[in-house]
Amino acid sequence: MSKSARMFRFYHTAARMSARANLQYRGQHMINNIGSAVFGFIFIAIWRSVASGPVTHNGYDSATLTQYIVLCQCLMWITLFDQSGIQLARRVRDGSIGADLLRPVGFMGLQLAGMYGKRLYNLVFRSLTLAGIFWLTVGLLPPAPANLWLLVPGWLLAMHTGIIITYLIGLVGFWTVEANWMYLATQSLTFMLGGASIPLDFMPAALKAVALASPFPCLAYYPATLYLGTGGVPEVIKLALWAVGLTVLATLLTWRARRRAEVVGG
Amino acid sequence: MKRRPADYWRLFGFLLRSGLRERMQYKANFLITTIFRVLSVLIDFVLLAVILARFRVIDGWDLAEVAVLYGLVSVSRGLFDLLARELEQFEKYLVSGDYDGILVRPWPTVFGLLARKVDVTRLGMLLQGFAIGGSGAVLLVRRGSLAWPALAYLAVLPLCGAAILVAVAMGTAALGFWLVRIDEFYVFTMYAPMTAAVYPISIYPGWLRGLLHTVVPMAFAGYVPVNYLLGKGGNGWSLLAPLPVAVLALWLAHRLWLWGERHYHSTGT
Repeated sequence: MSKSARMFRFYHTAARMSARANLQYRGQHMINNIGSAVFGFIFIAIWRSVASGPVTHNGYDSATLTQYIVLCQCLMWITLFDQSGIQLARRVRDGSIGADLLRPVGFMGLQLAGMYGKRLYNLVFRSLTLAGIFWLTVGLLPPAPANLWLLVPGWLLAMHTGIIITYLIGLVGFWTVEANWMYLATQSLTFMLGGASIPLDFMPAALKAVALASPFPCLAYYPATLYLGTGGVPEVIKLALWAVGLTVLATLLTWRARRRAEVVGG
Repeated sequence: MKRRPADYWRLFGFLLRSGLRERMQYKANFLITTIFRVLSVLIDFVLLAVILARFRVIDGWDLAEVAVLYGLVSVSRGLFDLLARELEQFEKYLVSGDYDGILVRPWPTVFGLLARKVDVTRLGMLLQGFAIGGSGAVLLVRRGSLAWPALAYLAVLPLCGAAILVAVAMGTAALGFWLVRIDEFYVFTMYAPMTAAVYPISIYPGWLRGLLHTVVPMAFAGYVPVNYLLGKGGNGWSLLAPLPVAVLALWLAHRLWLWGERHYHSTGT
């Protein structure tokens, strides 16, 4: 077996193990799904209250806004909600990262494989389950037919960008004591600049410009617009550019982090 | 051993100082964490402001009015986080067996748990809540929607809000004596109700309004009394209600806690 085939097999196993580890907690995750759905109902109620009736606001009517909120609630489980970054930073802090650094496979690849496993688990047991809850309660329309061919690559790129951002949060742990603040900041910025709780089209021009210049719309706004049909090829290109750019940045920072790592004790 | 209230205050003062000293070991980290906690809460308000800048009102409530609700919930949350955050972390005590150590201490177990940590990084969030809620309230007084004495009432209302949050967190934590794994429950017993309470409760569907007035009575942390103060509905009882609701919620949660404690099984570690 070639070296690359062996590496792929190793990463595949790491991803599978990560997904399997999460399976142990699927009962609790189902409880959490109900909480996530309640969050969705809260945001839907807010939007229905302010934008009631058939009148459209920036191309959104009450029904479209409901769909947008539902999509973002489902999407964030594959793009944003993952504490793997914090756990990675914690491993740096307690020194157990030493074992990961010694493995005969790429450190970054190993970490990303674990995160991919978790996101794939989330896709099935979080996103799709939530989508089912929303479909039964407030309704969920199928994706825009014209965008079907863009949806899979677009959402995969969104997931990859989210994974890289999670990994970057973990890398911060090589330079600071903890990474909780970075995770907190990423969540807040995704809700605001990423359009997770308000479509960017409703933002003042200056704020929207800042948002569009950041990677956060990749985690909610771009993939949601692809599903709704208001986005298209330009959104997929932006997703691809951010995915590639952040992956390069993560690779460079991993190299710096490895040189910086100093494990004390045993 | 019988403890006097002064003993609890003395211990609390000691914990606050030691919490601050602990955090100051890593000054830059303390500063960054505090700043980002404040920013994350501020961003929620910016979002709210963006929505209201476009649509003017949410169910008849304008930005200044919603700012008061927002401030009340934020300060309640800040007080809870500062003093009682360990209730939210109770699962780790059950899983690791650390609760055994609390059981053998000469303090009531709930107090022993709360005394484990006072998180001073939450002070910023508290001040930020005061600033936003206070600005909204002063604006309402200036335009005559709110009387000056109402400010004094609003300043102490977060004590009831924090007490309600402590009760909800204690009730949820108490479930851990039977279920052990309870972290996920906080999403719909605490986080979702706190988000919901920032907006006028009247916009929600009936089942959610019912829950916010009964099982998780966050409506009394802001909406019920403020709704009356602004002349939008309710009666004099709306102003008095938060206190008995908070006391009753605390009593019920503590009864559940004591009952659950009898079912506690140590992990033996």
